[in-house]
Amino acid sequence: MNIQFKKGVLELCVLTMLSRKDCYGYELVKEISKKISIAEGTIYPLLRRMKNEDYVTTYLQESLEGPPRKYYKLTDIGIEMKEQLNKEWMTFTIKVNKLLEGRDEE
Amino acid sequence: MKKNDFLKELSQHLLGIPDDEIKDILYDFREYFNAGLQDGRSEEELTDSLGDPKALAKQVKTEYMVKLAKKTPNLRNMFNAILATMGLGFFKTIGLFLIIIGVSILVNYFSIIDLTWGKIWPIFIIGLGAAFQASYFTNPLRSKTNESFLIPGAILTITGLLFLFLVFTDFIYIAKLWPIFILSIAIGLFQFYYFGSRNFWILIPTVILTVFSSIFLVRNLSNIQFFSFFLACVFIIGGLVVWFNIGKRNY
Repeated sequence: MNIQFKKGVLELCVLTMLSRKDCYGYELVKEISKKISIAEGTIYPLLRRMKNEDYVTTYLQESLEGPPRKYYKLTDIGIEMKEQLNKEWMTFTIKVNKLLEGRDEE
Repeated sequence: MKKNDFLKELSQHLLGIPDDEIKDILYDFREYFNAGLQDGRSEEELTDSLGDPKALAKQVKTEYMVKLAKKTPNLRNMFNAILATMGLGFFKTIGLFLIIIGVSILVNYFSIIDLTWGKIWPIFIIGLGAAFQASYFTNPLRSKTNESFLIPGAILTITGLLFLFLVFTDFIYIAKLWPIFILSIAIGLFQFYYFGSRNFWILIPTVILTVFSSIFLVRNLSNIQFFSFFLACVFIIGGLVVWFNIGKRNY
């Protein structure tokens, strides 16, 4: 798959996962890389950008197995962004599917 | 690759952005390794799936420049953000010019156009000047040492271009175009002022050189009547600028 395309989708995936529960970096990476093959490192710059843009906040939480982990939590702006991206993605895929199947809109 | 090699390479390529930012990034990746090792994966496996540390560092750096440009959207930060996304550096520019020189030698070798060393030497000067310019604009965060590169940058680039033109026109225009050499110094100083510390005193030689060289350039390029027209314009515009600036200060 095209890399730029993947990067765009990646943002939606991260936002969606965080809307279900707060996650730490590795958790996000692992879940996403199960479904989409991507250089796992690229999620970290993405997370930093989302933090800069106030989509997410972070907090540290002790873990049983070693040093504390950095958890990511969606902000209100992040939730809004997620809804918007989700909507865009849905209309986009519907249109593309229609085009691929050769069906025209009503 | 081992975990430590990965972290070392990553931090090396991150040099240039603030230290606490680098620490923060390395913390994230250490956490990734810890969690991954507990997950039963090997260090090699983890570094493989993370991807190329150099590419990652570049991505992080670019995000940082963009963040900086959004926070303080001045011309310099915006320029940096654009150039960081392009990623053209000093050595790449030198490389590009070496290729251009190589190609022109080849062209000469196959006698397509008559080029000799006597004609293409200004390209070396342009290349060096362009590389100085690029080194500043692509390594903005080590600014203090690099601003001064903009002075030779402008001088070499502009004189190189001028020489290239003169060489191909058998130096017949040198009597008219010589003020451009002086103008190039002014442009170098202005860049140093604008992108640097904005020290007011740098502006004084800049303005003197600019006025001096433009007066001679215009005189050389035009007939006497046009010259006096130009002089009149300089005085009127200069007068208006002074007038309105003094007006502003009174408020």
